[in-house]
Amino acid sequence: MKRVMDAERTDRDDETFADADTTGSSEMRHSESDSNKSCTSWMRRQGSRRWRTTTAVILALAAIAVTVAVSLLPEPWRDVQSNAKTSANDPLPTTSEHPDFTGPHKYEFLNAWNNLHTEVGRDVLEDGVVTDDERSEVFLAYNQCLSVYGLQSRPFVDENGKTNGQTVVSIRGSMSSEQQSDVIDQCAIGSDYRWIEPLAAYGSDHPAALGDMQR
Amino acid sequence: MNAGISAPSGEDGRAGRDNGPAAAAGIRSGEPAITSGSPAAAFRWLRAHWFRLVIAAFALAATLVEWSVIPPIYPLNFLFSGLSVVGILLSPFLPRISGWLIIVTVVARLFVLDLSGPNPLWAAYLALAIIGYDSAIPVAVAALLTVSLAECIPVALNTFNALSATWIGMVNYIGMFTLATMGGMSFRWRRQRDEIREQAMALERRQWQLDTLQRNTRLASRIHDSASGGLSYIALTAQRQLRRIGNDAEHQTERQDWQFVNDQALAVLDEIHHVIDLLEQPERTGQSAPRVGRHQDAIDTAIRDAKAKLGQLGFAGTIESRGERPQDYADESFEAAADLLGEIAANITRHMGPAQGEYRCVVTYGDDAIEIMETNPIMSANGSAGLKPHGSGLAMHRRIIMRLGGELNTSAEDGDWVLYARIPAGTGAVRPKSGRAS
Repeated sequence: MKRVMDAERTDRDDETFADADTTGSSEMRHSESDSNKSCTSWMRRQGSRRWRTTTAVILALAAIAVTVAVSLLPEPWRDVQSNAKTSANDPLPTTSEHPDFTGPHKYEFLNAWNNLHTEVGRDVLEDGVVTDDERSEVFLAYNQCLSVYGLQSRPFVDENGKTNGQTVVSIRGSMSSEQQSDVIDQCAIGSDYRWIEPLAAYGSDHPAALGDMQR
Repeated sequence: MNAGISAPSGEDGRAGRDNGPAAAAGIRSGEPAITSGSPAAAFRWLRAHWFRLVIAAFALAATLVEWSVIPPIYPLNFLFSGLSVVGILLSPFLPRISGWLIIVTVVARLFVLDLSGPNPLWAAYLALAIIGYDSAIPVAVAALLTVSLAECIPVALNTFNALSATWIGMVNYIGMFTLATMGGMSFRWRRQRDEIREQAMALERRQWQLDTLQRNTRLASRIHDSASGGLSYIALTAQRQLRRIGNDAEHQTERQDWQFVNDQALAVLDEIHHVIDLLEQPERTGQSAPRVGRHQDAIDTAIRDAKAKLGQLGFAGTIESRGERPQDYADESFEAAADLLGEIAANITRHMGPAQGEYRCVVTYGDDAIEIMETNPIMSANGSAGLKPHGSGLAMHRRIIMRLGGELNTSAEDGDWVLYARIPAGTGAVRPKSGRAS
């Protein structure tokens, strides 16, 4: 009976070494049990260490893969600073087709059309009128460009409480005022804010908005 | 749910060094944060970690507000900012892992060249503070150097995302990083100081208990060798006399006397054995040792025993109780009253002659106290019963009663001894009226 109990205890200690010698002396069985325990503990430690190492390697590889994959996604406004340095200005290719702008500001509209850099700008000007929503959309893109460089544009409110232009503030970064000025100009150009913003002042009462657009 | 939120074992590399009381209270980092799913365990965890939660909530609020105002533009910036928020969220539960995760994201964002998104400095301060609190000094210094040197790289490269355009300006930021780290480390040192103090107090308490136990052991040995042995001889002598004396009516009175002596000796022997057991037990804080058969009916038993003893010795008088015995009195109050009644009976035998008159004792149960009033005539000094008074019996009872918030007054006027005792019904709530209580 005692041998059976010892064997059961050994089985509980480690199922891997369940075939313990139940016919030997109790001291030998005790020694084997201790040996089995230490062996089991060592195996568990090794297994745990291996599992941790594997997990860490998998996580590191996953982190690298995700970082590489995400880095391949488009990064708008990446070249603003270099373009500002080189004075590069690449508007969209001018096509022969353009909206037939009419009214007293048709030349401003046509000039803006020919200097647009984005498809968003063309969508805005295509109907010959710049609505508040369209202006906000362009302003948002302009601000996004600025925010990459630690700048933010806010409407400037004069002492009479009227919005009058915009003011750009530096919230982060270490750009000099000259660099900031270049980035502001480049962002305004790159986001078409420079061309759309003046036209928004004409509002929806522009004659171009009243007639049919001709192509 | 066994572990609602728990740190992995690898998170606590110095678990063996944190064995202080504060660590037991769950302050130690890296231990299973919430070891049980019960609300009480969660509440204890919240109490122990409220400061972590507060600073994490502050950093999270600042980060999310900035995120909502200026969202990250570049996808990589979005990824690292999101990981930073995750690190802030996990900081109360996995302080060191989340701290280093935040530092990695802060450093990584330096190479993205996108200043949109939340300001990484909030998370950086938080990470340095919790690493300073939870990690060893070299690790905290390494974290501080990592952040500081990483923030110097854009300055050296003269990129637009540098914290400052000049090295002088970086001194402020490095100072802020250092302050955050030192803040965490100072809280850690304060916690360690408290732990050391508590450990020293516990050690002193254990030493005092050990000294008391040794003294009590000597006392128990002395009592056992002297009083216990003597009482045993008395009881054995009485029993031998009972066997010798015939069972006839002629020796009835003598037999009753020896039976009384035997019963008293055995009763006192039991009491002494109980006292020896108490002395040999370790000091119990805040509670007395339980005594079987005492407490609520202790007073009735004491009255019955006192009457029997005094009657057997030829003393005439009455002991009565008035009022209904409340059930919600503290056990200590019952025991103090019962022990005082025993002392009163013993004093009557010492200071009053059986032929001098009668004793009167009244026990009154009040709403908030037990009152004992006793009076008896005093025997003259040359007519004492031959029992040598110790002189400290009533004084001990007075100390006990005053510790319970009551009073014990005695007077001897015109040949009469008067005793009045008031024992509060509960303990702890009522303090002694005078400052003489020990």
